[in-house]
Amino acid sequence: MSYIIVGNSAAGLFAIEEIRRHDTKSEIIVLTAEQEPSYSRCLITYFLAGEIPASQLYLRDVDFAARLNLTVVYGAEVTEIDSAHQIVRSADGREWHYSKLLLAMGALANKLSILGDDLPEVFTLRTMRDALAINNILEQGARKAIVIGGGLVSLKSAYALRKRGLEVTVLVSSGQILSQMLDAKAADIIQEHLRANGLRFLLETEAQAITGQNHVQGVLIAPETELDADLVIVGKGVRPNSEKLRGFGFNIGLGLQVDSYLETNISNIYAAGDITETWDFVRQKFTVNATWPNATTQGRIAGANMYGRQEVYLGSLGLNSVDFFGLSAMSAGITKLLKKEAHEDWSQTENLKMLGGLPIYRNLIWQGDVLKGFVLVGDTSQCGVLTALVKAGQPLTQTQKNLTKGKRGTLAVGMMK
Amino acid sequence: MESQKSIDPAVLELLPKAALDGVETVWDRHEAQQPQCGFGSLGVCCRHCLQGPCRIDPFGNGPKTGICGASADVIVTRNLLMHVAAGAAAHVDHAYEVVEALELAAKGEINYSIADENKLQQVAKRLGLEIVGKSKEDLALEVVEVAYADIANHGKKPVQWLMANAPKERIAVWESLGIVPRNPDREIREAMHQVTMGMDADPVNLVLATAKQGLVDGYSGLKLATDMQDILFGTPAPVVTEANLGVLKEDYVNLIVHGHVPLLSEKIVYWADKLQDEARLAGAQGILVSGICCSGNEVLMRKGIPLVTNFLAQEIAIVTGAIDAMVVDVQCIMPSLTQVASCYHTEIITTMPIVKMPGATHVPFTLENADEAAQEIVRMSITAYGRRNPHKVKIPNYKRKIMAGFSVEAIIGALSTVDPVQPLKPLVDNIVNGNILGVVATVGCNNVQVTQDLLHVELVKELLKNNVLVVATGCSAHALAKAGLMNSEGTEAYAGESLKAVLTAIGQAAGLGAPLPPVLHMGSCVDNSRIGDLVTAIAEYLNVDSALLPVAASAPELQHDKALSIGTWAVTMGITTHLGVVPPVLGSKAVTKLLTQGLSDVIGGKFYIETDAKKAAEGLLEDIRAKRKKLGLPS
Amino acid sequence: MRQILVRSEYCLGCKSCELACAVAHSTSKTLFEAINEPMPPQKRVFVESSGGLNFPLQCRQCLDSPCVHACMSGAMQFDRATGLIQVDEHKCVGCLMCVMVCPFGVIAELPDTHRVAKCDRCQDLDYDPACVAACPTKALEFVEVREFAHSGRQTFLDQMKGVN
Repeated sequence: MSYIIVGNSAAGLFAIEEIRRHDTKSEIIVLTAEQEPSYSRCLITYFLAGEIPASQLYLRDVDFAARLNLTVVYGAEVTEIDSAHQIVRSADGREWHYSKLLLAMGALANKLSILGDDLPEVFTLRTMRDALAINNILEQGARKAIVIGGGLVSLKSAYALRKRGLEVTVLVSSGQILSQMLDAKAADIIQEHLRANGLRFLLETEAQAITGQNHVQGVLIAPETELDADLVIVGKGVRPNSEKLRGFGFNIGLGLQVDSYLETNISNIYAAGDITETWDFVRQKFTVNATWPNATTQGRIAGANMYGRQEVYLGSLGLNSVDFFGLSAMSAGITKLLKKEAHEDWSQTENLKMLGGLPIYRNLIWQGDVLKGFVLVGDTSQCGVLTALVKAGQPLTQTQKNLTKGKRGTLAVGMMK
Repeated sequence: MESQKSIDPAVLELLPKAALDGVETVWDRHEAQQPQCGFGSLGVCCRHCLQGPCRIDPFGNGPKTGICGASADVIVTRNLLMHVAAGAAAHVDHAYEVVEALELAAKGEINYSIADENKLQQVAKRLGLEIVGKSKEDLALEVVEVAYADIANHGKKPVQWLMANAPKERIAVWESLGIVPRNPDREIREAMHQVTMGMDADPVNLVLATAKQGLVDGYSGLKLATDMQDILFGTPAPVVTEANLGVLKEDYVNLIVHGHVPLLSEKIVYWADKLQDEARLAGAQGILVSGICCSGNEVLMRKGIPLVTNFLAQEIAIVTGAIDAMVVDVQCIMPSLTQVASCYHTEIITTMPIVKMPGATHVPFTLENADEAAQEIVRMSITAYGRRNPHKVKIPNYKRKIMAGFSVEAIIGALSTVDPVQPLKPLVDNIVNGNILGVVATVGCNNVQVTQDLLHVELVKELLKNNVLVVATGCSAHALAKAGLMNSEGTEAYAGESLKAVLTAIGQAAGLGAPLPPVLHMGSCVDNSRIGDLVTAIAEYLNVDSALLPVAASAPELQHDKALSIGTWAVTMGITTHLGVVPPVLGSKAVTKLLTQGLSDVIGGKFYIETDAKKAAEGLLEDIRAKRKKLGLPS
Repeated sequence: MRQILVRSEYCLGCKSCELACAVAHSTSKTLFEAINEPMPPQKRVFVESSGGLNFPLQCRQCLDSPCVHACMSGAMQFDRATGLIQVDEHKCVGCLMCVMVCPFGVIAELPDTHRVAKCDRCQDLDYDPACVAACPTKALEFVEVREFAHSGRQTFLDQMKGVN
């Protein structure tokens, strides 16, 4: 038996650990395009903010590979899969035979296609290499940054740069920040909090071009309007890293498609993590839910099934958490009601209060008596229990529904009755 | 679990505003306290000595006695005695202040007058004093002397205020149990001694000591205070005004009196009227004084001042953003008030040396400087009006018309329009023939553990439906006023047919042109003495023990030591006394049984614990019917 | 392996376990000193109530361990030696993803460091849970599951005796 894991991030790592729980003998080969042991992409902005050292980005101890008896091949970008012979090949021509293969190559950051996007101070922020390069620019004394995009990575980047003392302007093409994660009210609260902490926002604003000859000078947002910048970070989302797998016989939709055991349409080849298209059991559709907990869970289950267990993956769930300058926000599942007429049995219970000068906001989205999602800002202590309710998908009694308004734990205890 | 916080629509309207304004209310703090310690709730937590604290495991897996050896029975009864003695202390202290005021007023040393000479003579007569040929000042000083003599009594002589005012049959029962108090201060001191480590370990003896504290409260607290206050400020007569937050006026200086003793609030009402022009100069239409808790009840009863709200919503009143100043004296003043007020322009003014609050302005009140203090306070409210932020003002449009002022004298006054010779006769006859099934007094507080006002209102509606006449005091009266149970429309809507007929007949005879309200507002917490007086008068009229009357009491939402103390007094009067919130006694089954069953054999009355309004009403009706049956009356 | 198990019918909501838990996670390990420590110790057990039911909730050490899956810093890990899920507070960055997925809501945020803490079954006290020792009604027990179940069956039978 020989396992090959392509990709060394969340999904890959958890798959490896799961396999080793059952099978301590077989060979496990890890192929990664990067040059680093497993590190946490989600922590990159913490590093950039100066909150943790680069060394803390690594997810496991230095002796991890040895302890788990892994063969880790760095700089191996897989470009070819020969499923007939169960062989994978890398761009530099190396090849490995597998009995079971896991494709967990994650996602790629979308780039801008505008004038000046190739200047050296224009970055996306996805890899440790990106982070180290940005850090270099910061250490050279960059003062003004423009972040293009209003999503999670953009804002976490903007927050990090602000923490490092830069003047930061965030350009958001839509009218709302974090529009994937939050409803409008929660987004307003977060935006106001970030603004109060020194971030500048320009909503409904597109970057037309990035100016500068050899270095970034600014960003043009209208024919006559240019904002100064020493650094530009582009956060326009990610896309599954599945393009290069076209031509090898995989079913590819929004991402690599899998069955409920996380196996692709080709036997002995599994997929997990941000590359994978999965069933979103709240939204009731196939999509790519590229978040950490989805990736690790898929990795673990794929690992178990590669070993030979028959574990069913029930589906993924949109789930996000941010914390900016002491104000945290979390959301799961469906976070806003769409057009009312199309959702007659849908409702929301909204609640806003102030505590010690900070807002506490909660919005629960219901379909009938089933909790389909929520947004929490400020007090997030009950988030886990609510997430469990969203996952359970069971209708709640009125008493149980009332419990969702209470404080942490009341709900967990109430559900036991 | 989030239960309904209040049934008061004004409160419900303002709670979201409180949340948005960043105000933490009593309901938030209650939620933060959940769950509350079961040992304390059961009364089996003892902190009387420094070897402790000790707790008894009510399930029997852990300790069965405290370190000293005290059993659950002992711990529960010691704690209960302490609660009741504390409540008695509050009322006796209150009464003492007004006795002092009457003394100084009679001597002409302070600017208070003797407003009600009739009441003075009536009190003096009961005390056995000769009234003929004495000036009201001299007679007042003789009355004061008796009151002081009780407090200075060094011998075994019983409290004179009790001997003069309690029903004879009751005194005999109390004497047989050895619980007639001698001197209120001494009895409270003795109780404090009795509960210390290594003292009384007999639960029955401790319960009897508790009953004695009830008598201290009833006669040296409540009765004494009401008598003095009536003499000083006048005995209440029917007044008509309104209740609930909607009484506040947006374009007026809103000054709230909150607390319990009318010595200051009477002066505030007087000076607010005198200084109206200053308010107009400040741009307001005038000054509106209104009241919370029993300071509110006191000036309502005598001056027709509107009621703002009761205990649990004292913070919510400030959330209207329209209260310019809230002046407080003693008791039931939430320490959170200054925190709430800091979100608005509201001035919190403390006045008493034993009630100060960080963040409040302290204007010392003494009998000698009463006018100066009151003027200063009124002017502070006018100044604060100038700081009011109109964007933060929201006055809920909820208020109900109320008729109040039903002192015993006022009730007899109304009844004498029907039968001038024997004024109690129409009432008693209607009780005898069953048109009025019985009388229930609802008294006491709000308690955040139950939906605000719910038990008061639901219980009373049920009783009225069954033709029970209800009298009310304290925050219970506030609750019933806000619910529209203190006006003629309330009689039409809620009273049973035969009760409605009686109230209509009396109302017509008294010239109201409408029925009497189904719930008679008899005043503040200390005015529970008026209920005692009414019961005593009926018992005297019928020449029976008050324990036999078809009368019951209820403290549906009790919270304060004072309420336990008042309730204990009611039990000693032989009255079944309902408690809608479980007192901390259940940790001892024996004591619980004694309080809720055994007591009735020895003292006639008992506690009745029931947290459901409907069931409580049924229980009280059953009790009343049983008493009617014993008297041979139809039910 | 012994587990912290709860007989909720005995829980009076006194919160003695919460206090003992915080003290067990203080530097001094004594109540009177702990209250003066510059970083107030954080409890990891939460006595919650709903209606009449009280329940001291702490980490249930779930086998599917959603907190471990959600942890993006590698701080929350399954410790093979003890069979417990433990947080490495040096690796924790305070992203609160674990809080977000814990179905019992028993992962607490340390207010001073903005890191998370949860029941570590009193690692510092040789795995002798302070909450269990502090419970005055024995609502908390630290026993093998089969012992707990056995005593539950015994109680049931004892009650049946009264019935028959």
